Amino acid sequence: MKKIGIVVLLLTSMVGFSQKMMTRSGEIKFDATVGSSVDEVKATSNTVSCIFDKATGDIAVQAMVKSFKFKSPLMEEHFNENYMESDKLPKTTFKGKVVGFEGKSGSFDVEGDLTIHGVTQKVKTKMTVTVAAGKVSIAGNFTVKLKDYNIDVPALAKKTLAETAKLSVNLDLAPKP
Amino acid sequence: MNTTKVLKILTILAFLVVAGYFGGRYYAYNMGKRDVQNEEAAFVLKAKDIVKEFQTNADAANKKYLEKAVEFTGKVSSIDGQNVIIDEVVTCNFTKVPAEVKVGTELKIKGRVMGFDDMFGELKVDQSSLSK
Repeated sequence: MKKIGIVVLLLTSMVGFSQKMMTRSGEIKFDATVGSSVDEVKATSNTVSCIFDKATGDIAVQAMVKSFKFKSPLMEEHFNENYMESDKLPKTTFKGKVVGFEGKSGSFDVEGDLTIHGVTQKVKTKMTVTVAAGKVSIAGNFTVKLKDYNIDVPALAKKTLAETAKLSVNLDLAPKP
Repeated sequence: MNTTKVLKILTILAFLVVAGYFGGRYYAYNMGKRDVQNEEAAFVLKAKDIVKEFQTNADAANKKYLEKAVEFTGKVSSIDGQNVIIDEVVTCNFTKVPAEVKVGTELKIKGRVMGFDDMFGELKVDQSSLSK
């Protein structure tokens, strides 16, 4: 009797675990290039963490500001020191929900709280969720206005730095071990 | 001095100015890349200890460690893609995980501290390299 109890407990805990999907190597690309400028203001992070609950649709994403790599070290330095203040505010986070997700692939509204530069805003965007072979990937694009997150673009930088940044997200999630 | 000579000098000057401008620009944009691997570590400590500091006082720990080259000692608890996790609390990102790094090995890794991921309870480090 005791044994059966333990087996049942183990099984239920395993089911509980397999609902949580995770990654430490999600990708977020950022592009705030001004159309007429020759300087690309682009960066990529490949160390984005994400936990997604298949059962509830709850999703949490964390990216370190310092993990965004630019081609130009100088631009990376400006990004960290002048705009994002990554020494004080090292993280960018999102906490929200994939609305209406029921375990199947499709296009869904993702809504929740996006925190950049210490400022939290409610956001809503479409993302594509693909479920295949026990894995889930979540991908999509959206834009953010730098002003909404208290990031000032000085007049001199307006020629190279756009006031709206394009973000593209790509998260390949595997079951949490 | 005749006009052809003046023109020649002017052309050379113009060329130098343009070359200098683009050269300087190229330098400003592409040089000055940090080489964490060859930096002296600012701190040498156990993976578990540094994480405790981030958990007790995040602001103080941010001030003390962010952007610094730190050397961590501990045991590899797992390897996840290009990330080597030490003692389940420090995630070191490599461009390529060295072949000798295996789960269970005791080692020292030097890298740049990016911040504390409170979702995973892990300190995130990049530009990692093995220390001897």
